[in-house]
Amino acid sequence: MMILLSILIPMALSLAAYVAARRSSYLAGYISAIALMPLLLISAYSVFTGWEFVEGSFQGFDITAFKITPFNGVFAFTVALVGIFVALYSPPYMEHRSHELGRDSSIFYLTYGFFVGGLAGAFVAANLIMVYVFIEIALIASLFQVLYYGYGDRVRITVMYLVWSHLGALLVLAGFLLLYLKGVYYVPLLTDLKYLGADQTAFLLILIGSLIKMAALGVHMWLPYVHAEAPTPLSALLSPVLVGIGGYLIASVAMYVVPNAEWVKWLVYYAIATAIYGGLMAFLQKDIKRLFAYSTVSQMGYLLLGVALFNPHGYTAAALFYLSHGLGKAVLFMTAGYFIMYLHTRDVEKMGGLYGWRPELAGAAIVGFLNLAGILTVGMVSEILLTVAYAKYFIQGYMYYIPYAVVLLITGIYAFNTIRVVFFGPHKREDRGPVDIALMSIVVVAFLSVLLFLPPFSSALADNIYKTIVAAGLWK
Amino acid sequence: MEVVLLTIFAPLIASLISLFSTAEKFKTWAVTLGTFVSALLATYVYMSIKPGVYSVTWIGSIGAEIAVRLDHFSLPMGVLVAWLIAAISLYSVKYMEGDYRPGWYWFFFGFFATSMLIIVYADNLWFLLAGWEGVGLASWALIGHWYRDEYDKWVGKEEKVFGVPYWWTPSKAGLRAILTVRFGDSFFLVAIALFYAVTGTVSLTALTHAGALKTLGIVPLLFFALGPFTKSAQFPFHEWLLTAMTGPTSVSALIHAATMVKAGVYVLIVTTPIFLLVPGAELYFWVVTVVGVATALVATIIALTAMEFKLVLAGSTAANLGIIAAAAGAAGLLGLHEHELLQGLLFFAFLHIVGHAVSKASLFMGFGAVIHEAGTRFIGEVGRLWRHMKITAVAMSLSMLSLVGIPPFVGYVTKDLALENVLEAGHVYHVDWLAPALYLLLFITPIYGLRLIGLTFVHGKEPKEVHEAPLLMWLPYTALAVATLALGAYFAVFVKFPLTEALIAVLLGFLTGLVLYIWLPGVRSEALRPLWEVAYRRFYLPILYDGVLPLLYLWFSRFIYVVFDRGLFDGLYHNAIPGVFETLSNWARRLITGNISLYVLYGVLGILITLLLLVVL
Repeated sequence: MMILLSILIPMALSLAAYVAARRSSYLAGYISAIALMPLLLISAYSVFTGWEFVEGSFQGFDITAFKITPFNGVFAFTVALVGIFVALYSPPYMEHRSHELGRDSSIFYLTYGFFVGGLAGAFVAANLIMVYVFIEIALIASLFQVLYYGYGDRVRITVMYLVWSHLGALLVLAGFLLLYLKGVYYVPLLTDLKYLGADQTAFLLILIGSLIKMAALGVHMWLPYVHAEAPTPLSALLSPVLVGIGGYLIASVAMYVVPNAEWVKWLVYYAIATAIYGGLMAFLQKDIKRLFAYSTVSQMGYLLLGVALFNPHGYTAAALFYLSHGLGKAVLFMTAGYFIMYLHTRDVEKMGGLYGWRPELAGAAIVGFLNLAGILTVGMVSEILLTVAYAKYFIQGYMYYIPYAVVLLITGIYAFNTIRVVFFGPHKREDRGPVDIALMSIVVVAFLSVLLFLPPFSSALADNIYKTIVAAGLWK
Repeated sequence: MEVVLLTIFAPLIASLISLFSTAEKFKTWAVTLGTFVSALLATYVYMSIKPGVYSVTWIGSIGAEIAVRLDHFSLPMGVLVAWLIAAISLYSVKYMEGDYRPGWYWFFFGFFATSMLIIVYADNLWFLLAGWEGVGLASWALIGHWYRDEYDKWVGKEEKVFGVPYWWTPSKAGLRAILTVRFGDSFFLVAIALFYAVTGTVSLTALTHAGALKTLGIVPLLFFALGPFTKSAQFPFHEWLLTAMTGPTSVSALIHAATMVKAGVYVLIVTTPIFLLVPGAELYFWVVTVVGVATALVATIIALTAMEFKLVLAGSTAANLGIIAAAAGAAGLLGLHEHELLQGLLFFAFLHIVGHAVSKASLFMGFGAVIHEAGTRFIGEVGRLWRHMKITAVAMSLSMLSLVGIPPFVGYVTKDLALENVLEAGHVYHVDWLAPALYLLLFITPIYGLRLIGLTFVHGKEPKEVHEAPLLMWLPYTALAVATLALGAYFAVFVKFPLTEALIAVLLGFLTGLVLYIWLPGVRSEALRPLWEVAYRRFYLPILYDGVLPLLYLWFSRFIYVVFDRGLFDGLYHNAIPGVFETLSNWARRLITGNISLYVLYGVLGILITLLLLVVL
């Protein structure tokens, strides 16, 4: 019951947050954060000690089957960690937004617990149908947030989000049902199942559904709109943690029915194309939230690449990318929200010289970018693992290393260029950015992403995930 | 092991502590203390810890270990680096006083020191990579330290050449540095991953015996070399180092003498015994040697024509890095034939790191004081400074003589030993153009040195109010200037005092410089102007890096954006598909007329179609 409870508590307490939000957003934020503590503890325990939590019988069609291994634990851990700090960050922002809209923030906090709980549920549920149900819970909850608190043409954006995310979810469901007909009721990676044999239709359905969710190249068009126009605390969760679900589904389900090595190879190329494409587009954006949204596309390319390389190092890298991108992108979106609150702009060209405005914010945002670029943060561990996976896949096909190096360079270009444009240059403002709980949340998340790079944290993280994946033995 | 780790991490720990106070004095002295602790510990490690490899596991699944290697390279290098950092740190106390961003400076100072010491001592390439990325990041941070981009911190004047801006603000210079390094590091990372994938280890000690390396070709080695090449500013990646002069002078001293650029050549040296195993290594060593010689020539010519104090010194750094790289490559070439000679030859290459570092640290700090006191960064705007800054003038002259390689200074001994490697390789492999190229290099070198000294201290426009630098500033560089003599004598006695025909080229250059810039200043030839222009514009390479490449990148991104993102994807998903739906729904809506008899007709048709389907199926 422990796992199930850890997911249901955020949902249950969101009712309390709803009531509290009518009096104070801060109280609602604290309740939402505390509600995620059990999930954080249980997933952290699994990830850092290698312990596996198992619930349910796994017999027949058991909807109470849950499991946390270090592999899916790191996804749940990211959801909980980012969820907690975004909840703490949200009150000043939501007060600002409520004031603009003339509507209180209660709906935000009512849906917040469902959104985060649903996301975590999708990672820890073992029953395939339950995975789908949890995804739907998260989607519907976040839909309301965009509709009530979004920017621009909210209704249109909400419809766009509804259509695309449900198209993705339904394709995935169709794939699950095909597996169901074969007698596969549970996420294969969480059971003792090995490679299930080729199943082209199921593979394609789950793959395409997941790619739409990940906003991979060609089906990414919804993401820059939705993530740019969503209320910023939601963007901080949507961008890193929701979209990554696609990668998890491909890794833990679709790859078990991948038709042959040829498919894997094309998936690798496609992942690299996505990473390059997202990076190039991010470089061009002037709206800081759209910039970060495209950078998410690029990072999803990395994550997909880890999965597509189809070896234990690649899987480990993918899981760690979810973590590093989750922390890094949360920092960056929260920074964008801080700008919206206190600078009232999203246009990077109106920024510049902001280091002096609030050095702590600049420092944290730089760390956020370093996570994306894979420099001396937990992002570096994932980058190294990914490179090793890549080398194991291509060995002496030296030509193939050039596009990979280009991916790393392109990420560096938009990351450091954005830092320069936003934070360096002559001062344009005389005032100072205020110190509040939003700023503190940003700084703490940035700090954690550095802390997780250091031993013993990085040692436990990488090695436990790696051991789980090797034990799963998908490749034998 | 613990002591070595403390040596490495003491500056970083001090940096972290410095973050907890807003007082500038506290930050300054905390980090300075940290660097001195590190320097003392490095000396202790050098004296009393047994050489060997000490390690603990970091991430088992990729063979990452926190491993330190104590040997004849890392031990002296550690002492050198740690003491130089401590000296520069002491100098910075006064130099950076009252700066507008002390928190940033002192944090990254300690961070820089630790990152460099990781590279020096690391035995495991992943551990080394952490330091490697660290020095890249720290140099970016410190080059762009004066992030407000004030005019007096620029490199260059506000002018355009072929439409490309020929001035570099600190933030732009930082970006150039990090992106150049990032390019090399991407391939460096790939190469290390390949070593791991093939051999299952990335320990430098284990790789020396890894037979599996034989399955690799030359390509991974070239990937690997891109890391050191970009970091050590080898041609054609030397541009970032020249514009890195936007940083505080203490940072320049740090980057040029003790950290960052030295990391690259140091790694080239320590990996040479490993790469000997790889088939095709000869070509790799030739690439390193030729790139090194090319860098040395190009950078020397740039130093000869630069009009900013620090740019002359930057050019000379790149030149000396080229010499070290070439010496390392040549050692590899010679080692291929006579394996037992390898370590000795590599040690000659290594010695020049020492020789150059001591001279260059002193020069940067001294000219930093000159810029600080005189208030200009341009040569020619201030002169005759020996009357006003006597100690500095003497110290700078001594260090400069060492830098340009006049006996008996340390610069002469180490540079000559390093070049002997290259000459010998040219001789053994019958590459005839190497020797003349090197003699030319040796001839020009003293000229740019004397030019800088002559135009700054001896001749030129006399300033009104310039004072000698404060004690805390002149003490470190004067001590180092004296050290150039002492070390020169030490090496001459205990290693070797080289005496070759190369000395003739040096002395000829010295005499030419003496005539042109000390005895008869102002001798100019307009005929040489076009040549001067090319060198002064740094062979127009900035046009490539600041004009062509960024533009291509921008246009390519825009093209993709307009054609694919806006055109194809946006057009398809947000215009075409919704458009089709709208048309369909409009058409379907016309069926709903409110006419009951029509609805009955639809019903009948529906039933008929259903029946038909049932019959067919």
